[in-house]
Amino acid sequence: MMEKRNVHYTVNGEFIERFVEPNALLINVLRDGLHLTGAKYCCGTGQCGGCTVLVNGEPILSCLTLAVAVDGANILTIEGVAEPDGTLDPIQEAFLDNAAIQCGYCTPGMVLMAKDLLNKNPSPSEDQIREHIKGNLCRCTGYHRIVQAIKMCRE
Amino acid sequence: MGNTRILTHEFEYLAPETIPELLQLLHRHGQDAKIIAGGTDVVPGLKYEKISPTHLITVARISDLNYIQENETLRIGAATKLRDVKMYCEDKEQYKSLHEALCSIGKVQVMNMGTLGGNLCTASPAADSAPPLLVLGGRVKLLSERGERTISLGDFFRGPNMTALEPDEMMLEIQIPIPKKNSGDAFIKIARVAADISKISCAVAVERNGDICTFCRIAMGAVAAVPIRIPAAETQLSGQRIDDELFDEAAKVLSGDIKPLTDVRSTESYRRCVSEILFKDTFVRAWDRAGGEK
Repeated sequence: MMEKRNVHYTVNGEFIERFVEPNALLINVLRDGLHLTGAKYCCGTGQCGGCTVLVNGEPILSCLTLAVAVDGANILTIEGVAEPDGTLDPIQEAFLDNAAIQCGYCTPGMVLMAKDLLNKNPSPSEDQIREHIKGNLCRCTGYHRIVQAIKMCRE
Repeated sequence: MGNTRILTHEFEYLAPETIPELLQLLHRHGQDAKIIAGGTDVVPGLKYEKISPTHLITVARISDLNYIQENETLRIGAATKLRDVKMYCEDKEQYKSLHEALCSIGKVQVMNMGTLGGNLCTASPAADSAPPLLVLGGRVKLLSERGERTISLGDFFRGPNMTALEPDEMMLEIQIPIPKKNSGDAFIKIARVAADISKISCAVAVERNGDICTFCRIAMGAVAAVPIRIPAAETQLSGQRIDDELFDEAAKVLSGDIKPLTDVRSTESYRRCVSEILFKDTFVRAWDRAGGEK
């Protein structure tokens, strides 16, 4: 039996302490342990971007990340993007306004990638937007409306 | 086929903070241990049960493996993130092939997680960073408690997922000699969709004097058990005046020299067929960068 490790995170602004096994994946700690089911398990191998969360401000794949490896990190999931009172982030509003969501499975990852891009570059070109969401697969929208939504949030 | 939702394999997780601590752990557990950096190769490897180490040793907390220095040689610490290497190359006249290869990996998330040393130590025949580093004359410095050694990248790759690393050894840094003036390099890969693994890739570095190709290195990915140089085609072009006839001939030599396989990403015949034009496109790009027209 593997010895559990004590880990600390700040998840969506909240301090969290857990005991996790060394082979626990971050996505499962978030989903099963903290009931934050926004990050989606899809391919499990780093091809689709559905499990994207921001760790210390950088997007990573939570299904390829060991929970012990990000001990001490500041983690943002899709649940932390809206204001605590439920007011949606402008990016989320833009996704709704542009019907950039169909089945919704890729949406948490897409919104977090959009947030990351706009944090670093408030007025990206369409090429830069497409480049940034290249690692996030969407099988419904054909990407056009997602790109439109992100464009609407440019300064 | 393993389960990709959870990790069923059990291991002890070790997180040294210094290189001596890491070497000590490798000395003790080397045979049964696996080093993990970003995890983008190691975690899928665990999921698919390709690897089953008793000890997983992370290098993520060793800051001495994360650096980029340039004086007479470009030195990149093995655990430097792909993102940081890409950003460094972005502003440079040289290392265009490496920049193009890193851009082709594409996914922001993978660039934030993966490391240059990790990409090489996984030793995938399709590793995108390998062909550029082969043509740029890349060397790798390896370290163990027994001492250090520096070998060419060509000698580092031993087979699919196999390297020259001894069980108690680690990669310390990647070294690239600064390219000469009148030199140019380029990388092109063919993949099914954006941010995908290569069907086939090519890197070329040339030095030229007018129409004369004074020096030439050619490397390809996903055409053999390891990323390889193509010495037969290099010899054809080195020291020669480049004209269409010679260029066609070198491309033929190249496509005859490679040993591609048929796998999930492509077929042997497609790879061989496309290798000629891929090489030509890559060569022309490198040649133009070295100054003047072909």
